Amino acid sequence: MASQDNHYDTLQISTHATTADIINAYRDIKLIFQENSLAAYSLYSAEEIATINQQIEEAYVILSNSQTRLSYDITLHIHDVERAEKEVSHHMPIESNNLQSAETTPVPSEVSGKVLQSIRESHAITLLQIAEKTNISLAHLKAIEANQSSAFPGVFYLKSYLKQYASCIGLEPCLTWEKYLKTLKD
Amino acid sequence: MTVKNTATTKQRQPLIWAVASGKGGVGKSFVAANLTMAFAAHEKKAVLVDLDLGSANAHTCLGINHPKTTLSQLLRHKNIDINSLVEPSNTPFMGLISGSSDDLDMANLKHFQKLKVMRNLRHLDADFVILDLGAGTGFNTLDFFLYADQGLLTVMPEPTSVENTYRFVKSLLTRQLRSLPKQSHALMNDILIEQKKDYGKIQSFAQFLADMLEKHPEHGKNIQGNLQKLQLNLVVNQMMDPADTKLGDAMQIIFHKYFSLNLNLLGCLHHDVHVTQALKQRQSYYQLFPQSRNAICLHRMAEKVIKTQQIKTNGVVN
Ligand SMILES: Nc1ncnc2c1ncn2[C@@H]1O[C@H](COP(=O)(O)OP(=O)(O)O)[C@@H](O)[C@H]1O
Ligand SMILES: [Mg+2]
Repeated sequence: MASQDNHYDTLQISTHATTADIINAYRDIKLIFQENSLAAYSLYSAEEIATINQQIEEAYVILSNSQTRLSYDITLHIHDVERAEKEVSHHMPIESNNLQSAETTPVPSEVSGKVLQSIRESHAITLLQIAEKTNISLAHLKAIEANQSSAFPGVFYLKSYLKQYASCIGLEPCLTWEKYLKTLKD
Repeated sequence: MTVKNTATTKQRQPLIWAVASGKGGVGKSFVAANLTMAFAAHEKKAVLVDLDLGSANAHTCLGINHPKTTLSQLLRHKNIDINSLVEPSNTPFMGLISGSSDDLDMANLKHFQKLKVMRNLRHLDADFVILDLGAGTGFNTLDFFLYADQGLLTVMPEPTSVENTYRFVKSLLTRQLRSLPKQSHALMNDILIEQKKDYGKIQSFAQFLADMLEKHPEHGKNIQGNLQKLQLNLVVNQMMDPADTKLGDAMQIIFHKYFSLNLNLLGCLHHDVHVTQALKQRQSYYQLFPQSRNAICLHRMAEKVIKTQQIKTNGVVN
């Protein structure tokens, strides 16, 4: 039986599914496993169908709420970069009250770890200050300046950290990330 | 029959499609015959081979009255080109090998005869060879289905048809896995016995596979590899009520959940009284009612298959 399925398997969706996908999948699969369903009855006993319906409800409750889904994903070790990003931008906007909130520096045409470091130093900001402000570890901040993307568990983390770092030294976060990513790729 | 491009004629290997269903009367012959017509309409050379030996009637679905040649000649004669057994038809790009013969029966087809037919199917000068298989889960039927490049299951929205489709798939899996090494079978048995002990009954095939993968990864992967060879397609036929349109999607999900198998939903056809009318008029439905929604759907199904095939051979997608 489907006892070992995770919630995504239960609803037969990918871990990238959007909330709309989840609602649709839930509706469809409920129909398939309703009592006397033409497609299911001859393979599953009434008891099994009841269990499956329970699993479907459980999966839907967890996955249809973005907070519970996020926590569930962590238990599955899923880091869906794109989706997590959307959630993050909804729930925890990157802080704007950073060290250099007033005067902003124009983003240079090429952004590497070295460039970031020199801008930071020109503002006389230490990594320790940024670490205290953002709760990002010193090691990760150093990795940003060393262009070491492998130091991060996923691109999502790198992106989130880099944007916070950028804000701290007065750079526009999104543009800085774009240019930094380009440098990493080249 | 004329073929435009003679350069490709010599090298081409036909793509073999086997049409089956767990039970009779679902519309295998109707689907097989009219899909053949649809391939031909796309100017793909298509040969329908009636392998419902014993109750062959595919010729009737094509409006061919008395086939002069039949498959039994292939078995009786030593050196015969299977292409000479193709009954010509009025439709360009389309041919039939009839199975109607008093001395042929699928159940009694001997092993070497089966192999001879299989071997020869590959020599057919065609783009598509469509096998109309008989109902049921006889070994020979299963073997032809497994031998084909693509399997097409026909189902209609009624409990017995759906149930028998699952039975067919269970038999198919058993047949497909019989070639696994002895050791695998012993381990598979252990898993099944364990499931019976733990749950009181044997669990879904998907669960069985999951257990195998967990406890005996090497053997499990081997089984998985065997399953991935199965190319399964589904046509829902004789839909009557709007709710019936859901059956195909539902079965697709169940196939994945219960059997751990991918099922490609090729299309859905409606119940249409004109099907009988076409039979009575001794014409193929596809030709007599080209504007019917079923004919249009069949046309699209053929198109989809042709496109997928082109993508495969041209290597655009693996
Ligand atoms: N879509 C359809 N609408 C109406 N009648 C159909 C349809 N498909 C098949 N039939 C009828 O159902 C019967 C069984 O079809 P057939 O193709 O001979 O089934 P099978 O080959 O699976 O035994 C035939 O009388 C046929 O005319
Ligand atoms: Mg038939």
